[in-house]
Amino acid sequence: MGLATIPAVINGRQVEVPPGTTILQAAALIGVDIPTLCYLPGKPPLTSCFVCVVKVTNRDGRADIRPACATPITEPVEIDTRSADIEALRREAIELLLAYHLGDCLAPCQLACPLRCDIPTLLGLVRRHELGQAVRLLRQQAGLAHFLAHVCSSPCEKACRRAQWDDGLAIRSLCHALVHWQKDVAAPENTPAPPPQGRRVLIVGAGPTGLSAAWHLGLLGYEVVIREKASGPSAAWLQSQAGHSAGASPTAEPAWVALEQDLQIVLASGVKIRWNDPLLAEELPERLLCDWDAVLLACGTEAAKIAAAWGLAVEGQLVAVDKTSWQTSRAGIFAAGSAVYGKTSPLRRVADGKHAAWALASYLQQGKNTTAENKFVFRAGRLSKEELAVLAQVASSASRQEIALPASGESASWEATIEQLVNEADRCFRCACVAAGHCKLRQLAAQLGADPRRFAGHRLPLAQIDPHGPIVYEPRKCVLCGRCVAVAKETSTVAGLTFVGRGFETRVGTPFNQSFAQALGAAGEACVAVCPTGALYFHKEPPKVERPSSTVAAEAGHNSPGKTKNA
Amino acid sequence: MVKRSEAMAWSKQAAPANEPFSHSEPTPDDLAYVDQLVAQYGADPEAAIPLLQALHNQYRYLPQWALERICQQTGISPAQIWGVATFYSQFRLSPVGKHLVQVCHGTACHAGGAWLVQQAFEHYLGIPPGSDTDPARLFTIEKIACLGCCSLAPVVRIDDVIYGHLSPARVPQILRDFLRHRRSQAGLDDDLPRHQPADSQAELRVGLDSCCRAQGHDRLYQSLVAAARKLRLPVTIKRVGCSGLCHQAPAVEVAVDKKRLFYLGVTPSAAERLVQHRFPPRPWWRRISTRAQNLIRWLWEEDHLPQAYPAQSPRLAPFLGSQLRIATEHAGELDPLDLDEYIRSGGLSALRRAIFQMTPQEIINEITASGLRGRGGAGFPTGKKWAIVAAQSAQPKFVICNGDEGDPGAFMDRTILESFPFRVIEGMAIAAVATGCRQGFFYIRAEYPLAVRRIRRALEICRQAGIIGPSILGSQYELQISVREGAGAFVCGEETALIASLEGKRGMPRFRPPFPAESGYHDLPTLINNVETFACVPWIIRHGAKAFASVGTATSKGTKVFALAGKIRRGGLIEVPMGMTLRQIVEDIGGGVPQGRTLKAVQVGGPSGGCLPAHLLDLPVDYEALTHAGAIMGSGGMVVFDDTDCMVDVARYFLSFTQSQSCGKCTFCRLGTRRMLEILEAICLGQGQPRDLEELETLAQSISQASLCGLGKTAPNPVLSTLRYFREEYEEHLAGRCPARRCKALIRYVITERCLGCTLCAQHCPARCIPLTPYRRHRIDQSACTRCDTCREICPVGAVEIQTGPPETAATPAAAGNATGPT
Repeated sequence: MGLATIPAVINGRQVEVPPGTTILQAAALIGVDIPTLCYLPGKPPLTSCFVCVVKVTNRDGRADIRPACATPITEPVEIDTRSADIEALRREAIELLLAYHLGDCLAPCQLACPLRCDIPTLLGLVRRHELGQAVRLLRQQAGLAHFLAHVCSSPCEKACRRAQWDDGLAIRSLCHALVHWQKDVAAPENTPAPPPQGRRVLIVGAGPTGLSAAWHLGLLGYEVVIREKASGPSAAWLQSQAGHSAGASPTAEPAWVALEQDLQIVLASGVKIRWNDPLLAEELPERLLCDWDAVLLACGTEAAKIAAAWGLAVEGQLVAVDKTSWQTSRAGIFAAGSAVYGKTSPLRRVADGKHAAWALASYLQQGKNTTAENKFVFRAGRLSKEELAVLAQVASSASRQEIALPASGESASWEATIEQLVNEADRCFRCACVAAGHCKLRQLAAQLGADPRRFAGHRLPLAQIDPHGPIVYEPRKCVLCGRCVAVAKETSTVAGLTFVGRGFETRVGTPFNQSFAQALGAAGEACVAVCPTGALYFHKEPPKVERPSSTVAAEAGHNSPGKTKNA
Repeated sequence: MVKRSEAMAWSKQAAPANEPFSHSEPTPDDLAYVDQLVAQYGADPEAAIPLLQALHNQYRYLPQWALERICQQTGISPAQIWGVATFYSQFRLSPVGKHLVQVCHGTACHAGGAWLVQQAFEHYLGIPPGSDTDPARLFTIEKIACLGCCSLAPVVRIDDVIYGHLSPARVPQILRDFLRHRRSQAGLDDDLPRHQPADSQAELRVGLDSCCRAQGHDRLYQSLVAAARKLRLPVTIKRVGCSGLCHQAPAVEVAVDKKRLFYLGVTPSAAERLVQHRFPPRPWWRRISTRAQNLIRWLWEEDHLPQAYPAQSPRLAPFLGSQLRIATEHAGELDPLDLDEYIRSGGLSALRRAIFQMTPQEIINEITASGLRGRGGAGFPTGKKWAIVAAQSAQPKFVICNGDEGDPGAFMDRTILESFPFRVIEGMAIAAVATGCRQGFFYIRAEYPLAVRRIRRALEICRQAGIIGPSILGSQYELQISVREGAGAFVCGEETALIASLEGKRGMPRFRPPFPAESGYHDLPTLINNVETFACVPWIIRHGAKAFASVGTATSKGTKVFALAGKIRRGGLIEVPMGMTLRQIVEDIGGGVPQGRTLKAVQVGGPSGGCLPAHLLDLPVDYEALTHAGAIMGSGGMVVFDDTDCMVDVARYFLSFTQSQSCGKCTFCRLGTRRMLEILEAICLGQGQPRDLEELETLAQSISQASLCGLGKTAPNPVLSTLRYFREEYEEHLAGRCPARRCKALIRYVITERCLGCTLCAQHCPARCIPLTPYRRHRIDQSACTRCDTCREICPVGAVEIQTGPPETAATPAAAGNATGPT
């Protein structure tokens, strides 16, 4: 080809590229994004995943499906990167990979928790004796942590992977002990810096929903004011808000006392409550929305009356909202908790407050509602005894133990309790995926709307190679992209990695069944870094640093955030 | 009849203590042996596969210490050696038994009941479920993709000895034969003495190819030589290549001058009489004595003198008459390794002409004008490929002969390599001259040991004769050729995978472009052609492009060699002009399906091809016509199916093959074919869902669109073609019926009223599920029946019937479990 550049048409847009430019590179030039899984920028294409397929039509009208990462443009062609059949092919590739895939994106406990609390991380912090961090995490994720520790019905424990093996972890009593260990913590200091909002949100009602929403909005940097018709946080009011907690608390302390604790913490975080200031139906929403960027109705059954008066959609005694955005029929006005569901459990009310806060935030940030989480979650489903045994090898074999608080109050020694906490946390199967946040397979599955059950068939059993690390390989999370094999090959001094076997049973392996860490040596870090999924990773828990238990004990009960660091 | 206990008893007496597999720790001698191998094969990464093969020959598996030693002594990285050792089926990482039983699962063998045979071997050898070796470690059983002896299907190879025409009931007899007679005998001895007296008046030709040997030709040859020597007859007894007459073996051809006579069905014991009859001894007293002997023999021996048929006789003419032999010219006439004879029959004249009378460009022009297309399957114009390689400026260039004939159901390349080694070498040399290649490789499947041996020997002869080497026939051209053995990976027939394999890597294809013609072996220009393509080249140069192009159709020129096998009366190796219809091939040459059966389909192109139904028999053999009909030309395997073959099972069979042969690189091929296979297995088990057929079609389309190499792109073809032409069979399966009475989960064996009560079935039933009830009608315990077919085979009155459809009694989980065999 004597031409200096070759003209190509990508999705109807003209582009001129030098000969030999791949389709992927050409598309990037004009900002067309082609999804890839096995492609490593700057390295020769591996052409294994076939996610980057595009349709190439040459001048003779011959159309071919080609991997964009490897196909050079050598003649004028028309390229289609996004038509329905191409998307379908990509989706199918991902669905085939998912049919082979086995593992939980998120731990079942976290999925079961209505607040989506990151329990695996929490347990990890406890195992590392970073109790201060753990409490902060707990508070950050579950605003009314103290209250919840009393009223939570602990669905997480039933969902716990370990519940299929022997008994689920005693998560609730663990949370309970944590919040008692450090009762009053101000705003978590490890939250990301709030965006400069200058935006104001009005919440109507200071019950669990309202407080929870206020806390989480506060964390996100919004100015929050709660209007509450009650005259103040009297015991009677608190009792009515706390409801009757079904699950008896591990301590004699009643739930409303815990709620009061949480109320103080919420107030300390900068949320303002205007007591004795009921919202009246006469106040027009237009007026309110002039003063406030958004309004959240969290005042239980009264909300429906106000909404009806405002002409918003209602369903009987309840406010009608969009169940994903918590928005009422009027933009800017939201409702959550009992206002939407009627009488419901305190756990649900707190959770609803959190989700409403997130929905509100995304409304305020983008002017429209989006859900914050990656919608795609792969669940491993039921595992066989043998598969559970694989997970069990990284957990302590102790049996379930409820965490008992020190016998009496502040002066008591926490040492025994902390040991219990750590031991219970060590029973965790660590089933959550290390790559949940950055897994390309998960991102693509969400992006392409893949159905993980479509090709469900015979599956290979769950396995972990070198479960005790330092480098762990989970063949069932591997997409056999070949990235790690290619990267390991670049370091000639190490034994390296190779594909082992053939066909469906192919996997990545080490020569002579060495451990991955041994075989990878100096190349370990680079190989782990290029894994697009959670198949190859450094052991989830770095080796434990021994620290004298007295230091931990000394911190107990003190309001000393930030001091709890690794020794 | 050998009972299981007897087989166990053999096992116990065997396995002496100092077997190679007892090596777990290396002795200094072992290490020295490995070092010596390294010295022999070199320390390049490229030597990995030959090194492992040599190790494997010595220890019958790959001991880890040896692999580690190789890594220490060579530039081969641990990752490379481990990847290679786990990729190729030939290599085992754990010790095997003393003898290796390789059960062929090629297409024809599958149709002939390879699973039943394997099951019978496992049963009689007492191999525990989940294992492949009997407890005494005497026998290891292995499933092998194809031994290339399709006309003898079903076939097994025990060590080097091939047994054909097996049935479950024959297994004990075969084991006995192997242990008593053949275990010490090298089945591959190719240096049988030639008998050639000076006053020779005639030639007795005995085919000694792999499949002929399996039919007893080697013993026949020896007894002929012995007889001729004893009687001092003036006849030459000669080893020849394949005549294609597989269905008539054992056969001897007698050639006096130009006259050819075929003696068919000759047993070794009849050899002497044949010789005496045909060439009566000179002295009158000897003549009388032999006649007297013959009379005595005739009185008490049953086998009579085999009859002789001239080539024009009705028995042979339909098979031989309509063939046109170019690649297999002089089939059955030449000693494969007799260079002089090859030259006398016109050999090497093409090479001489190419070197001394033509320029490279003229050679390429001639090949282009002939219209020759790649015979490996895809049909790329050979002249065009040569021109691309010739145009490359990078040096050195390589020429590779692709003899990795992995298609189950095909044995053209094996036969050509075994029978016409010089022709292939000549074709390769012409290609090398035309394209400027100075180094060449034969890449031949390790499953073809005789082909490897003969090519090695032929290359040696050629080197000595100055045909290859530093100077081809004294010219300025140079060509060094070496032989590499494949190690049991179908995908290595794909050119980029083949090159990876030559370079000592896992046989994983890579993205094209660049094509090997531009950047192949070590990123240098590489010409890869199939065995048959090279075999056609000398003829084209000798007779001219026009002569070649005058044969065939508009787009497909010349002839094509087919391996005709399956449910056909006259199977064998045939070569026909392109454009001949399938009907002419199957019915005229092949004689149609056996009596009483009806033809259901012709499978063309192996696992990449398709099943063409009976109503398409008038389709001409032509690249485009076959592709259009949903098959491909492929390398030329042609397997005929009759009404007892289940098309769903055939599709399942091919998919299980490609699935297991996928290199595992691409998502669609690695995972998609597996899902398709699972769906097909469910259908064969009667557990299919109506939407399965649609799902199969979707997956099939995606796999063929989004795979890197030909294996993936064509893997769905057998499914697509059977869905296209035999959809009603799929639907029958969805309804719980197997019309061909083949899918084990959907059939049951029933003894009808015709039963005489002879108890034969009860005695032979390996599952012991027929209670012994003399003089009364027998019954089969359906829950224990394994559908091994022994009772039906053994019943003297045909009282055992196979029924399909919803069973009258409860389903039989015992049989359903291993219904259509493991995956």
